[in-house]
Amino acid sequence: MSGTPVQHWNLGIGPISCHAWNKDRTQVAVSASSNEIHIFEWKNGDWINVHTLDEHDLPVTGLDWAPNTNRIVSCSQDKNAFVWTFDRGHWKPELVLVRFQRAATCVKWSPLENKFAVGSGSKLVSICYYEKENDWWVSKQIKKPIRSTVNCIDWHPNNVLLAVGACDFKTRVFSAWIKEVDDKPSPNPWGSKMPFSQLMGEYNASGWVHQVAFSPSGCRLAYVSHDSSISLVDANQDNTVSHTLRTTHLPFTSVRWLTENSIVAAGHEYSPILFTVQGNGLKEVCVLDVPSANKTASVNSALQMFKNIDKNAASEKIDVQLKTLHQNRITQIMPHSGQPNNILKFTTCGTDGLIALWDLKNNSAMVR
Amino acid sequence: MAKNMQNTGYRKLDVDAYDPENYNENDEGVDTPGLGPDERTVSSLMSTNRLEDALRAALQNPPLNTKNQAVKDKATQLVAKVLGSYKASDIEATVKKLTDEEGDTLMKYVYKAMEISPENALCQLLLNWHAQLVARFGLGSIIRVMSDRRRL
Repeated sequence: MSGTPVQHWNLGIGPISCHAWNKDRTQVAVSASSNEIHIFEWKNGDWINVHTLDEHDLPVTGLDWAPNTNRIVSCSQDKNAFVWTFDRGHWKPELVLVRFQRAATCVKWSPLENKFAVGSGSKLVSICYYEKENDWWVSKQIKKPIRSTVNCIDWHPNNVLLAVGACDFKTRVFSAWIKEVDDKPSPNPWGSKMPFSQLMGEYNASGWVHQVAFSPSGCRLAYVSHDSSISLVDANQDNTVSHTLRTTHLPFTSVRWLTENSIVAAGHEYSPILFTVQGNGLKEVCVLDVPSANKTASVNSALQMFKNIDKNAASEKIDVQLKTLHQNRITQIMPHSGQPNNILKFTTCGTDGLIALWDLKNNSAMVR
Repeated sequence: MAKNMQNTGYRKLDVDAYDPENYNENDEGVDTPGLGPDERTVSSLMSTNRLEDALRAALQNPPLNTKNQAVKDKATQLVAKVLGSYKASDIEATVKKLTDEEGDTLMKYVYKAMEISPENALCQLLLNWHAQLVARFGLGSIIRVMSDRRRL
């Protein structure tokens, strides 16, 4: 797939709900809206499915791969989370006591990888950590004042603060300080006292919050919600106010900081969109995508016809390709190369089954 | 059988109201109630043919937080009256001058007016407004009408 400026692969496992990279980006864990987690490895110019983890009973909703400790954490609609460790050629699951009555929705390792957070439909977030005495992952729960399903979480780089976005149209910042594993946190722009489950900030949205993200320094927070808006909280200026930019696009489901001043967001619009921080708020910069002229022209061939019959249940040679690279909703953005405060490449996965690698260094070709 | 069993009044108690974790979406957004636009200002601006100012005045204080549907309908009819007195050729220029906030509010009014106004001619004009609003504010403005909990 070197003909187009943006590398992309169809893993052939159907709609991809989430993906996670290992440290050196040679392996990717993918969940295909099923109970299985597939681990693909880059071998001889293609992605080969090397492991299939099928401990969950219901579709997997969240995945995260801790780069340094090389552990995967997964969560699923079956109300469980597993920590997977690689041992003698096999991934071994360890059950986590997350104590949910509803599906788990999202999961994320903390920056120091000594704990992780799991969001759920039972209106709470479990902060899970390893208890040596019992050889067991246990959890503490943040409940109040979350009043609906938790959609998304993100860790502050200080390993203590946690941003939580929920279906009650609110984004909140909590302290997830666990005295068993954490040192005393130092004061930061979000506050100075941080006992466990302390609410540090609460911000409104006009729709379900789809994703939250702390900036590399942790002083800024961005979130996207189902009213097609993207919002910014700058704790250095005022940690009680959020500035919302209403966009002309369809709602975003994913957001990530590329540098301390720039953000990429993607979702139902099929193309990632760049934003920068300007003054108090955000400003749209450009849409990233393959230029439509560079798209391979539809080849009039029998092969094309059979492809159409196979893929689109169409009996004729019709062109149903959209002009965008992704042909359906983008579900997640993950960093690929570069430092946290200067991401050079990122990947997106989508309901169309693609994983695309976006190179920001050579982005002149893909700005539409 | 104990005597007090005949008293079934307790069954009518709304037990959910006593649940401290019960979620009531109506206690959201308790800021300004928004009593709707000032009808007199709008009419006087309309009578002097200052349609743009009339529209701007009509878009003030949308009654989004009130629970009184009559107030909302009245405001919608007022806005529809202003929209209806526009010539189709002037719509584009006016929409270009709206702020993001006004655009979203107007979109809500356009949808509501389509719902409650029975006249064909007005609907035709409303579709015109809708098309211009989408051209200026994109699909996002439609999404915001659908996703916002503070409805008209």
